[in-house]
Amino acid sequence: MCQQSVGLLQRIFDGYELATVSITQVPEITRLVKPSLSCFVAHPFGLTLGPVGDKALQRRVVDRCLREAAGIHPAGTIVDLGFSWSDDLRERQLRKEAR
Amino acid sequence: MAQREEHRLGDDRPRGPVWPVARAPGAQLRRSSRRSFVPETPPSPQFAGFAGVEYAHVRRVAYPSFEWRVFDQPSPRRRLERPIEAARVALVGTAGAFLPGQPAFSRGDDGDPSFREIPADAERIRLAHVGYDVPRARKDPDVVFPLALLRRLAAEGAIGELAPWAYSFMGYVPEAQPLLSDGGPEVARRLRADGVDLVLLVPT
Repeated sequence: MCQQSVGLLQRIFDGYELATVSITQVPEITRLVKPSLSCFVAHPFGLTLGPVGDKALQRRVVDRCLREAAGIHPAGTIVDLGFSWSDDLRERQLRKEAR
Repeated sequence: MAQREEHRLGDDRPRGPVWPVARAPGAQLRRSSRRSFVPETPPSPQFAGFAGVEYAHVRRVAYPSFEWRVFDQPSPRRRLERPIEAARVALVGTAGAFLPGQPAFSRGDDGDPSFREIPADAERIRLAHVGYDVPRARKDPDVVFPLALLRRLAAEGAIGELAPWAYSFMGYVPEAQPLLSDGGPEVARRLRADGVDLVLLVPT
């Protein structure tokens, strides 16, 4: 549900004419809310930017988001940043078998 | 850095269990966490992918009247008006981050639409959330609330500067109206008052 909350907040900020960029782990929820610009990262819930302690990967995710924020995209764009996860934690979370 | 008045809603609510079991007759139990079991819930065919899974799950175990907020049109996009290396960037997260001395977010079935204001130089980030493995994230809060990471980016010149305040929500908010009518607009006004060029929103 965090994905919806982030999208709703982003819509509000967009309405206040703030430049925004968000991360999403679930594009099918973000497509319901349609914020102005979102970046898809296929990471598990609770590990949005990457594994605990992996500072290099966390930085790459944020760097990519900031780069997309500076780019030209039509409103409602979801950019797939191409990050994936090495084990099945995310898939099990998506089936409600893990948290 | 001085702490502004907190904006809180419902912090006096009793703390509830995490994803309490509401087992339907004949429902299979599936291990979903170290702390609880939930019934296997068929995804709603009304929504695609995990949107259907989450919709059915929340309605079954926590908030029976839950509905996704669905919009026909995207919100308008405002372009960044200066290079990212010169921009003032603010963090808004939904990981349930708060500081020692601030109230933890409610973990009840009704969610918690309140927010906490976190100074940019805060070091001791605490986390409270019903929807993810919080003890794991406590080992490295940057994985869900990258305030320290953004400080490093500012120090290295990768962004212009970090805004003086970050804003923290707890993303489990099944009734979104208070978020839309109260907390969200209030934070938007504060972000504008903070002179923010770009808002980075991070879910969990």
